[in-house]
Amino acid sequence: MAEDDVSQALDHDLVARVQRGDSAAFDLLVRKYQHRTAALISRYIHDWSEVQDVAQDTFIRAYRAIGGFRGDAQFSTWLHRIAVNTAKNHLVSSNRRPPNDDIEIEDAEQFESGLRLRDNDTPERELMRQQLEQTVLRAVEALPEELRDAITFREVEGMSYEDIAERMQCPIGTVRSRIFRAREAIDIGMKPHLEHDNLPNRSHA
Amino acid sequence: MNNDTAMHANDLTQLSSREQLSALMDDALPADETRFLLRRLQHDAPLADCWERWRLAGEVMRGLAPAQRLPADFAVRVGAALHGTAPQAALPRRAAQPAWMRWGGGAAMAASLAVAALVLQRPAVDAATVAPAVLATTTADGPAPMQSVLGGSAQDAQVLAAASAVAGASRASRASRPAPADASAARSRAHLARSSQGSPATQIATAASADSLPLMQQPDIVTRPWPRAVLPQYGSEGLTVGFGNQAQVGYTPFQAHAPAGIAPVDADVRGAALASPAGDAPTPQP
Repeated sequence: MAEDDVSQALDHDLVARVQRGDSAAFDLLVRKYQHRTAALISRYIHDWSEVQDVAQDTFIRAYRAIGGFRGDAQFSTWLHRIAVNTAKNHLVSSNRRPPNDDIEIEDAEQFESGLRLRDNDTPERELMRQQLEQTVLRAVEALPEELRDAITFREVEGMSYEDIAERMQCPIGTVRSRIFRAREAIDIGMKPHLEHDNLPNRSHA
Repeated sequence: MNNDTAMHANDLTQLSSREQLSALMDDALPADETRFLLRRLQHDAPLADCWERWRLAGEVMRGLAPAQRLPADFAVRVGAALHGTAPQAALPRRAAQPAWMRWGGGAAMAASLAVAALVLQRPAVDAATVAPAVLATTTADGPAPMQSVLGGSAQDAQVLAAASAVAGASRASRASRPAPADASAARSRAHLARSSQGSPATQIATAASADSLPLMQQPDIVTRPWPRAVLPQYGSEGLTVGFGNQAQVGYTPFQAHAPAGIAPVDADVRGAALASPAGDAPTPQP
């Protein structure tokens, strides 16, 4: 499953701004794809500190090459290819062999397959992931029905504001406000969990 | 009351920005507002962190929660590495540099300081070596190689010996003093060399130079004093100008008076100055 149309349109708009010299737009792209990129790199490199280094190199390479990005493919796919190549080059430079049975460049369109098919997660990481999922799901379940439906239509179904407004039979402004309030409520529930995790994970390898 | 009002206004502003950020995340923000919001994001780190958390929450809702998250300041590090706004040492680099490169920087710094110390000492050394040569040239009216080329006589040999004696005396007097390290010290050496003209060796060199003028074929160099030096009241003043003495003179607009610190001009000198053309002896300026 690739990015939805709304997310793709946002990516192309941000890329166009980066190509015009707007560095803040690239910062948003980094913040949007950093965790997915690191998760993808971690399929090739198991040391977390190396994963951070390679992830940083990936975004630096992407920034330097973004002038040649013409929008023929999704930005997420393009970034995925750079991340895989950077990870493989890192292994070769350190005299290590890239894994043969892992995802290939041709599978780049299946960006999220690299995140779902994980077999190298430790029980500790799996526990942390489940805790985060439970925190978010509890916050979503605690939302009023109209907010929960709006954020679910947008984040899970990938629907646009116009489609959500038609489905919920309300103005687009109402949809925008409901999604914003749902995000704020989820953020309030998720923030303590992230702050608690960030303290010991800063230098965790 | 005022503080509550200000905080409420700030909350509204922040709320508006966050709502705009939510709309931007869904590609539902107009282009102009997007431009202004991106400009604000460059300086509003909490707002950028909010974008990151909202994105993470969306991935969790889609079942894509990352097992391990990057540090909270990862995007800041990437921006710093791209734009050089902060040191790149934030990420933990693992033993990528050999051991000699750790102290190599310190060694390079020490070497550069040593070179700088040598460069700073060079002007004093140059002044010490140049001053005797200048002295010998001015007293003997010609360098030694030129005399050897011309095939000088015994008289010329005396001139050369006298010049060498003056140079040796100058070096001896310089060795008895601590080595100067700046241009003022070089000037003091030149003054010392001028004062040594009264020594017998200098007198011999001067007489010999007067005799060897036809041999050396040197053009006559006539030094012209500064016009003010002709006037007796400016003999020792030079070109110095003082401003503090003017305050001591009262306000007498209808009386001519000389500047303070300058002796009154004699009547005959004043008359000579009035009689001579203005270009030969300029009137003193206060």
